[in-house]
Amino acid sequence: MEATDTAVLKAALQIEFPALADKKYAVAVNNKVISDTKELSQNDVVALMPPYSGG
Amino acid sequence: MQEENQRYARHYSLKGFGLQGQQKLTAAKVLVVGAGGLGCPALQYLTAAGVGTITIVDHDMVSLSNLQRQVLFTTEDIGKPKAEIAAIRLKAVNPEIAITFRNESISTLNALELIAEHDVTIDCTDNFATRYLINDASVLLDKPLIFGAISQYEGQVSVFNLANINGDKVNYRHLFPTPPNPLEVQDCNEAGVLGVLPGIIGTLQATEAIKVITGIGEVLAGKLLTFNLLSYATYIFELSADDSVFKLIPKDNAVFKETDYEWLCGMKAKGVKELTPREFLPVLDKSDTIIIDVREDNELPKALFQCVSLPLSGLTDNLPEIKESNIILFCQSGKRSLKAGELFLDRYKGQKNISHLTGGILALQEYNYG
Repeated sequence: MEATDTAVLKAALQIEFPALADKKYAVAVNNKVISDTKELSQNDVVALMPPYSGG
Repeated sequence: MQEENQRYARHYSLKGFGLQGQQKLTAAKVLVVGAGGLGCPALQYLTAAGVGTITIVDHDMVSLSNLQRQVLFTTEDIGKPKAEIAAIRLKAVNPEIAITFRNESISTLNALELIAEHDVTIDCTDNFATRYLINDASVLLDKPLIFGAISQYEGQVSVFNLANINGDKVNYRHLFPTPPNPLEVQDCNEAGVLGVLPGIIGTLQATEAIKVITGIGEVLAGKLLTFNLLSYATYIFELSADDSVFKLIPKDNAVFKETDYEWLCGMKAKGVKELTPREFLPVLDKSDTIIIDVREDNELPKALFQCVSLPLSGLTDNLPEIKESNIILFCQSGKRSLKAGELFLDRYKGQKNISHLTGGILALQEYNYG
């Protein structure tokens, strides 16, 4: 998937997986959780993490 | 000098742990909030390891559907208080430590006092309202908090309010600044969980507690570990300390005590009355009352009582006219019925009594079958 930053990536993922649009998740780039939009470069690894409440 | 106790012989001989590590455990006070899937294994290992003082807080009773993963309880314990039964079992494992229990919920009224009295708190709860409440109280008191959470086949573990190598302290709000709306996440009851998962995540929480207390190894301070049971994929993410999240936390103990975490987490809405399963059953035969199932078609279990099906997905755009004065809503877990309640409230402000079944049909089923 091609994306210049995390916002573009999120938008692209939401088109492919519409259910993502109304779900909450944190985003990590190369194992670092980010709070704002972050620029992406080649081979960056992006992870989406939902909040879990189960115990 | 404390005499060697044969019970902890394998700790004494353990390089890097020894008598000193054991003494630190003996001196430690640990608060375990929630004696469910995560709490059972965490408690078992902390008790066996010889943590000197353990307090268990849980308001819930053992139910049949708990037994698939809550390994401290037996079939005969159904209907009995979890905290008390857990304490009895644990005292048999290790009668040499102090174990106390409270058969009550942690709330803004008792949280500060409970957390302040202990060195480490372990969050083994099962809902966001309590998780944010414990997080905020631990931040206010500057106490370490061992976080663990699960869903389906995956779990998360972290240690909050403990300085990482950069000296930064992070908390749950650095990961998720504000609570999710109940519809934005799957609920454990609905999503299901493989029984062994809390066994692994709860054991990791006990491990982190032992590491924090004894100072061994690298603690997950400022880091989030995620573990997937199906692939064994394990990731450790770094959380960054960002001061802006502190404004989301009550500024002092007084404000904390006035905070309604259930409301913040969308677990209740002003104007939509909550019905427990016990209160729900008698209203089924009331006159001038409509019972509405807001689940989508074909969701199981089927309701075994008279009701009208109006799926939530259709209500948002087109709310039908209701002639009855009492509207009672239910769904699977109580999240969608609350949302539907808000929609009806918006339309019939003050003209009708709107209530919903908390915990949904799953809680009703549990209530009926124990």
